[in-house]
Amino acid sequence: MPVIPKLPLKEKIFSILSLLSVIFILSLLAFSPTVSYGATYSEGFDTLSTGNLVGQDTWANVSGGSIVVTATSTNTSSPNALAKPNDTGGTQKRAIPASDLGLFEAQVYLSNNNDTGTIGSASISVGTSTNPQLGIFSIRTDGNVRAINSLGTVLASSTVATAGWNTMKITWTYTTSLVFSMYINDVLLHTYTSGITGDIDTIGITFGNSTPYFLVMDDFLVQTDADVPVPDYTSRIDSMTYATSTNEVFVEGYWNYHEPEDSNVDELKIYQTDVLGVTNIVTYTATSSGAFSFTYEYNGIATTASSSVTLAYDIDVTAELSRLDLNYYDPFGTEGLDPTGSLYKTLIQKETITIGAETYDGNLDVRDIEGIYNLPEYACSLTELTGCLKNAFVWLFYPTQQASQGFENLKETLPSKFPFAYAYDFKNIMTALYTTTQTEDLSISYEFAGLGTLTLISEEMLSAVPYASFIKTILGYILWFIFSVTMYRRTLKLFDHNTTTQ
Amino acid sequence: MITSAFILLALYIVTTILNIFPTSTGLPASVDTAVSTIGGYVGMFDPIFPTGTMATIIGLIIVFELAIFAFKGFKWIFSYLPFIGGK
Repeated sequence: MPVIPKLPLKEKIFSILSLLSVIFILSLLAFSPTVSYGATYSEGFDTLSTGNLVGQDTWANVSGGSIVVTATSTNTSSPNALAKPNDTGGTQKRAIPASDLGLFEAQVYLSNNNDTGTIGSASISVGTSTNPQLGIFSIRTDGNVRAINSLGTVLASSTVATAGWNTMKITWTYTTSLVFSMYINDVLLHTYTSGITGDIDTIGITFGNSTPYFLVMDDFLVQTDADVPVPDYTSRIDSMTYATSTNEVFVEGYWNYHEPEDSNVDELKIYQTDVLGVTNIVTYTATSSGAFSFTYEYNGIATTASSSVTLAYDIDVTAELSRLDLNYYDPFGTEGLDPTGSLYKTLIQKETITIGAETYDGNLDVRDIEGIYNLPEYACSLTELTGCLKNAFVWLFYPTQQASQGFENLKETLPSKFPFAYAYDFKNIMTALYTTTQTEDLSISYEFAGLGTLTLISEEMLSAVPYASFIKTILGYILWFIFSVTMYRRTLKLFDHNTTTQ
Repeated sequence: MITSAFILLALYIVTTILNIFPTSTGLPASVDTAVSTIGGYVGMFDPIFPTGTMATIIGLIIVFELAIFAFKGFKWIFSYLPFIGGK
C-alpha cells in the first residue's frame, strides 16, 4: 500500500506541474509530428532546378539596331551560362537589319539543360536611346512564366511631341493566356489577348511579321499628336490586389505632388484590420506627381508553411488616399493632437479588400502563431496611448523567431546525441515494426524428425477463437486499467519521502 | 525581449550540455533484428490480444520514466547552482 506523501499542498502542486511540464516537453521533442519551418522561398528566375532550364528570355519587336544579351553563371559544375541567339556564351550582340521588322527571341540559360545551378546575372536589352525599340521581356523558369517586366518603349513618329507624355508603359499578365495592355499617360490604349497558352518556349523564334506580337505593334504606333490620349491627372486608387503566397497587397493609382506654396500634400495610408484591431499602419507621401504602385506586406500566415492551412479570421486591408492641407491645423481630426497627423485632411478615396478563409500551402505548427500574428504594431499617438503600451508589451514578451528556431535546432540535435539517440532509434524500429505489412502466416511449431510438423499455435488458429474480437477489446480495457492503477501508485511513490525506492 | 531572453538562455544551457555528449552512431543492427523477431511473435497474438494497446502503454511508461529521470537530473544540476541551489 503506498504511503500518502506528507508534503505541503503547494509543494505537491508545484511538483506535479513540474513533472507534467517535463513530460510535455519530452513528448513534444520525441513524438511530435515532423514539421517544416523556415523553408527557403526563392523568388525570381535565377535559382534553377534540374530539368529543361531557361533562365531568362525575351521576345523583341525590333526594326533596326541590335539585341544585346549578357549572362554570367555562378554554377561551379557547369560554369557556362549561355546567351542566345549565338549560343557561345558571355555577351552576345545580334545586329538587326532595318528591313527586318519582326519578332526575335533571346535566351539566357545554363549550358546543359539538365544542369542545376544559378545564373549569376543576366540582362537583355533592345535598341538604343536614340533608336528605341519595343521589347517584350519575360522571365521564366522551366518553361513557366514567372514574371513579366513592364518595360518597353514605343515606336513613334518623329513629328509627335513625345516629350509631353507623362508615362508610357506596357504590362503583361499571364493567366489563361498572355495578355498585353498598353498605356500612354496612364490611359489604357489597348488590351490584346495573344491566345498564347502553355509553354511559350514551344512558340519561340519562328514567329515573323504575321505574329500576334506584330499586331500589338500596330496598335501601339503613334503617328500624330492627336493620337496621344488626354491624361487623367486626378489623384485616385486604381486597383488593390493581393497575393496570399507572399502576404502582400498591391496598391496602384495616381497621385499629385503639390509645390510647397500650394500647401497641399497627397498621402496614402494603408493598414490592416483583423482580430487584433487596426495594426500595421504604413503611410506614404507624394514627392512627385505620377502613378504609384506600393506593395504592402500584411501580417498573415507564415509564407514558409508548406501544406494546407486555413486563415482563421478575415483580414481587411484598407487604403486611404487623402489630401493634407499644410496651412490648417485640425485638433479634432482623427489624428487628434498628434503634431504630425493633425493637419486638415480631406479623404479622396478609400478602398478595402478582404482576405479571409484563404488556403495556404503550409504545415501549421505551434510556431506558426508567430507567422499568424508576426509582431503586431499598434497605432501609437497621444490619443492612442494604449497602442503604445501594447507595442511595449509586445516588444517585452513576444518571443522572436530566433527563439522559436532554437527549439527546432534542439529537436534536430537531440536525436543525434548519445544516449538520447537510442530512444529515437528504438522508436523508429518500433514504428517500422507496426507499419510493416506482415504477409506470412505466423506460427510456433515443432518439427518431429520423420513425423512431420506440429503447429502449437498460429495466427490463423487464434483468429478462429470464438469471440476473438470481443476478448481483444476486453483485454484492452483491462490493460488500460492496470496501467492507470500502476501509474497512480508510481506517482504517489514519487512524492513519498518516507520510502527509499522511487 | 524578456520571453526570448529566457528561452534563449534555457536553450543555450541545454545545448551546451547536449554538446558534451558524443554523437551516436545508432543502435546495433542486432537490436533491430531482435525487436523485429519479438514483434513478429507478439504480432501473432494480435487477433485475440491488443498488442497495439500494449505497445502504446509501454511507450507511455517509457516516456513517464524518462520524464522522471530528466526531472531528477535537472534537480540535481539545479542543486549545484550557486546561491539558489541550496548546496
